[in-house]
Amino acid sequence: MNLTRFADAIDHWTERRARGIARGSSRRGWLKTLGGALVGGAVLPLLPVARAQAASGVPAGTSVPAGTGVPEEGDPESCGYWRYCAIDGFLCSCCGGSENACPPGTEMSPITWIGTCHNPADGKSYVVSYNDCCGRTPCGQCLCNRNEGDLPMYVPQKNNDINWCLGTQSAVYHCSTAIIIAQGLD
Amino acid sequence: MRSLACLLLALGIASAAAEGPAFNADRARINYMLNCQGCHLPDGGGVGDIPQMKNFVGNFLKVPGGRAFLVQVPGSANAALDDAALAELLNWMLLEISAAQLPEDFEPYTAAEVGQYRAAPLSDVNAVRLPLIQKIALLSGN
Repeated sequence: MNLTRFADAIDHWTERRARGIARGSSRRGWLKTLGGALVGGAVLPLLPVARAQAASGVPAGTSVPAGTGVPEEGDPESCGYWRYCAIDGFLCSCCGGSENACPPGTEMSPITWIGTCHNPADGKSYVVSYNDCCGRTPCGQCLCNRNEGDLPMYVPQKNNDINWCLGTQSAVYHCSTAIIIAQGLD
Repeated sequence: MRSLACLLLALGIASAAAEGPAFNADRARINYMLNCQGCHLPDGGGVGDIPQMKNFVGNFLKVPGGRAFLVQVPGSANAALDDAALAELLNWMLLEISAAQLPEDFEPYTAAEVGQYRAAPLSDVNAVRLPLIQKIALLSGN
């Protein structure tokens, strides 16, 4: 008798819990949670705070993958941002891309103008690659023209006035990135 | 006993050769980035009209005139590097991206040698390059 009542109680409790869960959740709700975790996990390391925290001594001469290990300060949507010391063009950061990535619908040129800039955050020099983004009409936002290390047109590999949309499907210039590829030696 | 001495001597020479030329690889790599990589790409692969150096450029040292050619091309001769830095960059680059194509008796460039070659830069690169490429093709039986 007691055993039956106990079994009924468990049965009743289980049914209420199951109905409660069914009422309070949708069948595809787990997808939302999983999606949130995936996107959140991917975006979190891109935040400037995380990047600054991740800052560490990068051995000189080694490659620096974009967005890792380089202490940052300043606004990538402003001409004064340290990586733009030799830039001449529109900032991809203002055009739907970033200082490291092209806006959607454009192609990054593999041929690029490379120089060095001084990083105020750690007082070191970094090798910066100004890869242009190509294939859409000029962006027209945030025109910056800083020319540290720029040489005349007759030294084309060190000149930033020429169109660096080379090796791309289209030679139409859209905007410029400023990608860190190494830390300098000094 | 004499053969043992010969063996030891041979081993000594082999280990000295394995060490390769003395250069600062970090400095050479940065100089490659700043002076070459923009067009030749990070791995020397080339694209479009830019010739492929990766797994090829060492071949030039196998044919007469090729050794001077690599210094006389505009990218080398006009680079904003002194003779020692250019020699270092070339030696590093050859071993880094085209070691398998180098001749067995590869001698690293010296600063004095580089200075001598770059004093006579090429005005028509292709006129010199094409015969060299043909000689290289004959070497490999193509």
